[in-house]
Amino acid sequence: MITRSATRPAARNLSLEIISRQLESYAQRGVFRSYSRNADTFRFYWLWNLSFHLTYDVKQKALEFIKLFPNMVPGSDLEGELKAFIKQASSPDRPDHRRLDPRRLSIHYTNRRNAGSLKFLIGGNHHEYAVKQILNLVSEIFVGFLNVRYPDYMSKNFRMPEET
Amino acid sequence: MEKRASRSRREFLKGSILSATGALGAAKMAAAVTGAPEPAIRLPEAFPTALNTPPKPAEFPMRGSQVFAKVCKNEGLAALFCCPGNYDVINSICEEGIPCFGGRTEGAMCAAADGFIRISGELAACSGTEGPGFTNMIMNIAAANAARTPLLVLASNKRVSEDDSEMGIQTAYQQPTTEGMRKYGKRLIDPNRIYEYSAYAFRQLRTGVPRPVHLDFPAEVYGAKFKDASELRYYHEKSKYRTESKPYPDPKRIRALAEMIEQSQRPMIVASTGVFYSQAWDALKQVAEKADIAVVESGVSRGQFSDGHRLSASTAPGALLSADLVIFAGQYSMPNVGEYHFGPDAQYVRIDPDAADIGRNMPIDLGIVSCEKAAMEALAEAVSSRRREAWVAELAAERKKFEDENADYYKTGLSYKDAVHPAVIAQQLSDFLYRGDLAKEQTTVVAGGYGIARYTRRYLRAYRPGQICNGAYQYGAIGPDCGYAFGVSAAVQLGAGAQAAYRGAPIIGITGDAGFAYSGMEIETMSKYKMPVVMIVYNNNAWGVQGSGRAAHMYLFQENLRYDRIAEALGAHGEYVTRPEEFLPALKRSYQIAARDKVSTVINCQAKREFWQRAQYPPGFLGKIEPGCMAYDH
Repeated sequence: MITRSATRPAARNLSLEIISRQLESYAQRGVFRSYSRNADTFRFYWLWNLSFHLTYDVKQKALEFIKLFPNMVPGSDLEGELKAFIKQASSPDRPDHRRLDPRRLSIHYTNRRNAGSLKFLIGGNHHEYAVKQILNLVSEIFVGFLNVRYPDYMSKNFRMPEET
Repeated sequence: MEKRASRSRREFLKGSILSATGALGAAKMAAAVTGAPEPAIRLPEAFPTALNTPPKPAEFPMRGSQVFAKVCKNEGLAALFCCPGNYDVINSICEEGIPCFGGRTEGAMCAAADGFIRISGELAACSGTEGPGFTNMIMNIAAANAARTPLLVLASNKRVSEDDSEMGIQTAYQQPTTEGMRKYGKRLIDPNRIYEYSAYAFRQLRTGVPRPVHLDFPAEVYGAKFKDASELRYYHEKSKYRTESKPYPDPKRIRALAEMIEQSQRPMIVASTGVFYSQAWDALKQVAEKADIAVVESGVSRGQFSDGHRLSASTAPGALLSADLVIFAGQYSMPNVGEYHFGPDAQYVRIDPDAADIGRNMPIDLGIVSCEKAAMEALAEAVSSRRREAWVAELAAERKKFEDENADYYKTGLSYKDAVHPAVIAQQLSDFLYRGDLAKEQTTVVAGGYGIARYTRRYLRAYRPGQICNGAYQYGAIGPDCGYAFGVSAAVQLGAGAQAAYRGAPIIGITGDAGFAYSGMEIETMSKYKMPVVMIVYNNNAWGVQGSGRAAHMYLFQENLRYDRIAEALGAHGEYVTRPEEFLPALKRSYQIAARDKVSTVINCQAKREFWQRAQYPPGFLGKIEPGCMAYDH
């Protein structure tokens, strides 16, 4: 008989391994330029060779990009538009294949000391779904939103060339 | 209005007359107002006489330059753009009957040749004198290299016997200078091998992934005399020194691709430079229509897949992220991950003639070494017929979303009354070209400039191959725009290659005030050759990137400069537009003058640099999404 307390660590490890495997598959496919894992922290170079830092909190079942958006002034137009952009990820206006299911994954934006972070809470055991949706959303935020609407922010904070 | 009110009546009258008439007449009328005799701008008689002189193709005995010119003729070189220098070579090419054009700077003539090639698909050459003329071309050789243009760069190069001596002037080591910005280069040294090396040049230009080829000619070579063919080495007909054969795709890989398409819900082809040069557009359309595959364009020119097609994603940037299978066809300048707006789960296939480039920058799930046209033809056979209604509906919805966004920008731009906002130029130009009296396929456009291009690219459309020359593609040079416009106009006037059906039509060029400075003198070349070019100059009194604080002065020009008057002074027509409602009438007048009189115009659109400030003038400076109509990095 497996006791409840005995299953917890195994389940935790399993979810971490699923996430790790899923992230690693992007590195193997060449989507990430490089990839490393240290316990529950993942680092990878992706999108114009930018460095991304993703952590997994097993207890909360939360994946978080801490300080993903540096120099984000609270209440600024940029932050307002960014929040709206994130919110529409689960909008019924989006095609089914791009719509985020809030029952399986919810998004929380926070701003501490002018740095925006994105935390994703995973519902149930939808870890694979979560990783896939998170990467798609972050890609969309950078390439389809910041790069289009705020190229000046990208050049100032992510060393994007001013003239491209 | 204050500015206008402060002008004297005489100045006002003079200005009105200058902008309301052609430049030739304007000079006379201005003289009438000022009372000062002012000679009219005119062409010397020798100019039309020269143009009407029949060609005189060389026969043995020939000089080295004539041997080379004959190879150019036999290889179908469609045009030469040059400034004086490299005299024997350019004169010999001209005598062979190849259309030749002489401009004001070698750099702009190099860009003209590049522009000519980019929208016609035909080969062209540029030429300059040894040191200064050659080095003046450098920026535009590099731009042509980045664009993968099969451009033939020619220059004279003193005498081998005087190497290193600095005897006289203009000494330059040319070949090391173009290293890294060409496919092949050679200083010709042995006169007897001139034919052989001409063959080397055209073999490189006509095969594989194109790039510039640079030949420099010392006097011993171009001036060498040959009594007959026996004095030349490898003097063969062209089928003996190069092949028309193309790499055909591995059938197994085509079947694998067909299977991937079958499995895909939302496949998309990125139709790029190689699709244009291999003339794969009909096969591309067949593949797309057979399996409902979306097509988005990238590359040096646009129109290989019509923006008006139900499967076009070039104006549907929102659909890119939905693609689950991306097929790059002829994408010679490969983006890195993040530069194209595809999602992290998309699978990638690359079709390219050069195996060595497949897998660079972007990961591939399948690579196919092939001529793009051959691959598309094979795929058209292999792919199963399939309808993807949801995908087609999504494309339509995303195109509409993009058009709605553009309409919002236009509405906002119109509300700025004291200067001409770029959205006004872009929307009204688009309406004039595609929704007015002109056939929407007719007008070829050079989409240049920097900040203005962020707007105009969104509104310009391509409905047939070679309709848009993507000015700053990859290298990002804004200076060549007037040069590109001259070359593009030459191609359209000649009906070269992809422009055959639009022969003689006016063209539109777009540049900024910064870009105009580099090649604006070519307005004189346009006037001289009666090229019907309407050149729109977005004048925001500054460079595209702005400085601040103590450094700000380095980014600024004087305000209200009159590029239209420069045009008038160079024999063209000028229009000065300071308010939104003035743009369309000026465009219509300019187009009419171009079509009727073959006179070029500069429309000087007075904007303001503050239009790039989002907080002050939304939507401000725009970003972009690639691939598609906004693309120019790759």
